[in-house]
Amino acid sequence: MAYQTSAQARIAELYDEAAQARELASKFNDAATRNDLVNYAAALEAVAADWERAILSNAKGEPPDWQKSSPRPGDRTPPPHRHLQIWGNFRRGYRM
Amino acid sequence: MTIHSVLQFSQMNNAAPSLLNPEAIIASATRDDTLLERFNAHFEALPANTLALVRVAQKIRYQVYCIEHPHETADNPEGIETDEFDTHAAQSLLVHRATNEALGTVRLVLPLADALDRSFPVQRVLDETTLRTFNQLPLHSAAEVSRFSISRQFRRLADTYGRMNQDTFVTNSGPLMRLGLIQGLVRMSREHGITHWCAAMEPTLLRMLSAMAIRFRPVGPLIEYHGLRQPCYCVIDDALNEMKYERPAFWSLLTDGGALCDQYPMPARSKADFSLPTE
Repeated sequence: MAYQTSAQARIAELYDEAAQARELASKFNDAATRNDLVNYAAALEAVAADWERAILSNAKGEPPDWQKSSPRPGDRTPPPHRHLQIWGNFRRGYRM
Repeated sequence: MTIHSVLQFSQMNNAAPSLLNPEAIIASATRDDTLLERFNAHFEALPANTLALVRVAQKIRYQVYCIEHPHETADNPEGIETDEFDTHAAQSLLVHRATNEALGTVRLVLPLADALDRSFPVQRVLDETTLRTFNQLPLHSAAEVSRFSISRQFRRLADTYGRMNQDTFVTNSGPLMRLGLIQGLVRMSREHGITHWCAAMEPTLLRMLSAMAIRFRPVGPLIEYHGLRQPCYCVIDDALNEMKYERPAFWSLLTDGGALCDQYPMPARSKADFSLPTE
C-alpha cells in the first residue's frame, strides 16, 4: 500500500530523529538541554509507536483515526502497561 | 564550490559572520555549553534578504520539493522552485558554518494589506465554512509558514564532513537544524510584526512540533493537499511562553537567548484579539 510505504518511511524518520535527539542529549552537561532533548525524543517515539500500532491494526492501510484528529495538549499516549493490566485481570478471572 | 554555497553570497552581502575553523568546532564538543551555544558554533539561521540568497533558498526548495520529495513539477530550467507567493514572502536559510553550505530553508508568506482574504496559499484550499473561520484570525498580522525544508542530500555533505572530522555532533544534529529553522521563523515574524502563524501541515509534523512545545490549533477538518493536511494556526507569543517553561533550552535557541523577544517586543493585546473562539 502506498500509504503504508510512506508511513513506514515517516516512522523510520521519527525513530531516527528521536535517536539523534538522545545522542545529542548525551553530549550536554546542561540539565535543561538534556531534559528538553530526551523529552523531545520520547514524544517522537510515542508518535512513531502510535503510528506503528495503527498500521498493525489496520491492514487496509487507511489513515488511522488518531491521524485524523488534531494534536492534543501534552499529546500523551496511554500508559504502555495498560493492556498488560487488563490481560492480568482476565487471567485472574479465568483462574477463579 | 557548489551552487548553493552561501559563502559566495555572504561575501557579496557581508551577511554571514566570520567562520569557525574545524579544529575549534571539534574542541567545542567537550565544552560544558548550552544548546544555543552549540547551535551557534555549528549553524546559523540567516535571513535570505537579498535576491542572491532568495535564489539559494529556492534552489533548496527545488532540491527538496521537486527531486527528493517530488510534490511539485521539476521543469524549472534554473533549478529553482518558486511561485507567486514569493513576491510577498520572507525566507530564511540554515547554514552549516564549517562547510558554508545552506542545508535548509523556510518561508513566511506575509499578508497583503489590500487583499487579506487572498494573501496565503492555505486560503485557496479551504472549504467555504473553514475559510470563513480562518478569516476571523487577525490576518493583518498573520503569516503562513511554508516550504519548511532540510535537504537530505545537502545534509549528507555536512554528515560527511562530521565523519571526516570525527565530529559526531554534526551527524546527530537533525533536531538542532529544525530548531534553527524555527529560530529563523521567529526572527522573521518579529521583524515583520507577525503575531500568528498559519499553515496546512501534515499531522505528523504537527505532532513533532507539539513535542517541541509548539502547538498549532486546528481550523476545520483535514484536507487533501499533497496528502492529508491539517489547516491550523498558532499564536506565536503563546507558543513561546509555553515553550519557555516546558522546553527552556529550546526556547533559548528559538529566541536567540531571549534577544528576539527583547529586541522586538510585541504590543500588548487582549486575549480575544489573538485566538479563534474555541468550539
